[in-house]
Amino acid sequence: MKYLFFIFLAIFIINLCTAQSAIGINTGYTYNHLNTDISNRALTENTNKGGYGFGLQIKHEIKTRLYLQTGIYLLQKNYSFNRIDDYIGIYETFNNSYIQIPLNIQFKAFKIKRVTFIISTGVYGAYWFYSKVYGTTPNIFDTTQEVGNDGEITQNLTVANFGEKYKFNSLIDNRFEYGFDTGLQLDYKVNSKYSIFLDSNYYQSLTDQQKKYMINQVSKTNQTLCISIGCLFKFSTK
Amino acid sequence: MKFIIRNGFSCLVIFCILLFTACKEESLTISNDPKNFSEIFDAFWTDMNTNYVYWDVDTTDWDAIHQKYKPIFAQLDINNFSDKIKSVQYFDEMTKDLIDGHYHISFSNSTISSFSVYPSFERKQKSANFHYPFSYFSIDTTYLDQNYSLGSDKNNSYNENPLTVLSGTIDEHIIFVSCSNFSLLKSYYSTIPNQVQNSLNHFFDLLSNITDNTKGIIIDVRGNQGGDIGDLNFFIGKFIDKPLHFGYTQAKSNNGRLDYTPWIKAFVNPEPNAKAIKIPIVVLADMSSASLSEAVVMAIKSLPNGIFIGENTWGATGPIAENKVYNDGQFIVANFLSVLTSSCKFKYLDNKVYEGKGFPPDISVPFNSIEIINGKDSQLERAIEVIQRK
Repeated sequence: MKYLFFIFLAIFIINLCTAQSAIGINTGYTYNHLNTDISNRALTENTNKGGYGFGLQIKHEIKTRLYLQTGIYLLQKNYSFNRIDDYIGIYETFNNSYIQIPLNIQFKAFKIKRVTFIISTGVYGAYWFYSKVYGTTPNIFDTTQEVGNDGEITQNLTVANFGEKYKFNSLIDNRFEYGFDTGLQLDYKVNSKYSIFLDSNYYQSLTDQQKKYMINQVSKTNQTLCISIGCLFKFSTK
Repeated sequence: MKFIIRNGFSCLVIFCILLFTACKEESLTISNDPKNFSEIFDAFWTDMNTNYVYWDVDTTDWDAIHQKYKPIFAQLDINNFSDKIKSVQYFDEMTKDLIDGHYHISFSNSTISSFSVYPSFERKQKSANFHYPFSYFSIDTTYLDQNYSLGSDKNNSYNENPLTVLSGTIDEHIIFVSCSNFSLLKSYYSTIPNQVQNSLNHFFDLLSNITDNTKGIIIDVRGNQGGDIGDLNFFIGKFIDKPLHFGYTQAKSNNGRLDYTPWIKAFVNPEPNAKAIKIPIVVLADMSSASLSEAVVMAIKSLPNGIFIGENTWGATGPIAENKVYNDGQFIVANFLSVLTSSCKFKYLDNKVYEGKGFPPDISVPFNSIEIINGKDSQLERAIEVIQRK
């Protein structure tokens, strides 16, 4: 996957010198699912979380209906493990920030007046540069007791809050992520130079968030939806 | 490049197909009802991998254990008695170096139910200074003033020994209290009257009547192998008037061997109307002092006026809870064995984990069986001396 990404990057750079291009910015909302197995963990749910995304994108028309598109994005791929039933209120949330470079082929599907419908697919490479972990946990050494009339003692665990910058562990954390990217874009042409767009992209990671450091390791992969709006400025490099 | 241009739409389709077929997930496979030794091994190995909390500080190579013992267990026959005995030996070998001082395997399979695996005990037995838990009550009453209170609760036993509490004074200016294990709350609030209630009330009266003549307090947890965590507030909460931070706990956060929550502060909370005790508090502990006794020792050590005299403690500092509380710790391999293991790692205020090593005393006074036979308790005498010098 890594090599596929770099091959596409090389093709893109070759085209950069000879194509009609556009540059733009976009911002939006991400919604991430961590694909992993927690079926053995009692009263715990793997919960998808929202986040934010910003991007600078460049696209090059290589034929009338075909573009190459790349850019640099800052995306959050967040997720949470939430306890349920008797343990409701206990959770652990990971806010993970990635710098991501997509390399996509965009195909202009059809056009209605000033609106162009574009489908795209490609690959991406990302670097996990920051993570914050926060939540609540039972605190076994911070308890209260209730004594019933029959002398029965009920022990209540209090809940402790935590929140800190996650310290990456080079043994287990795989900070490089590669995957497939597919999306739909609605492009509204304002004039010959500018257009605004609504973009939706789905990123499927093909790399585990953890390095292979033990036998029978359960994989953790991100599946991220990003919906954003932005504007493009067209220019020619010919 | 021309290929891509000419076949742009085809490329899109191929990528979409790749995208939706590439999502591979490696999942956990644990048999809830293992039928043979191969499945028993897999369930045990995987549960240890996910539930054991010391993997980041333990030197046991759990992957190497898998590679060595998986084929060995595959050769065993679940219906063969001698193979079951062999399996006990293999479980013992696999776990012999685990640092968890609580770690214990008991076998539920009827033909081997008399066997158990207790790595920390096996290691301690081999150490030069090993001694079995010793009850100091008969010796220590000779050091106490006449009005001491010694009480037991036969309805509240630990290892078939009833909970026993001794409280009193030494030379009228040192308060002394000792307990055989920690289930004080249970006896104190029991609706069945018992002598432990008298001994504890005697101690609480002495605490609430501290005068300028009171020189110090001695808490004796030698031979005390722990007990109910609620006793920490009930007992140590009498010495403080605000929450006492004495360490940190950390639990597993997911199925990865090295998935952990952040460290969480551990507290003792004061009992209602408790006053901060300013006079020296000496805690006596020995190599048999384990689990909650070690928490008591570390809590006392966290006080500015706390001193620890005796021997290194056992080294079972991690607390125990039901598995579902943290989704780690103790677990069962159905119809074959159950494992008792800590639910959290514990580290003291100095950021050190003392699991398996034991908490070291400020003043080391080793167990001396010859002196004890002659009715002399040198550890207690040292505690008295330290308080009198302050």
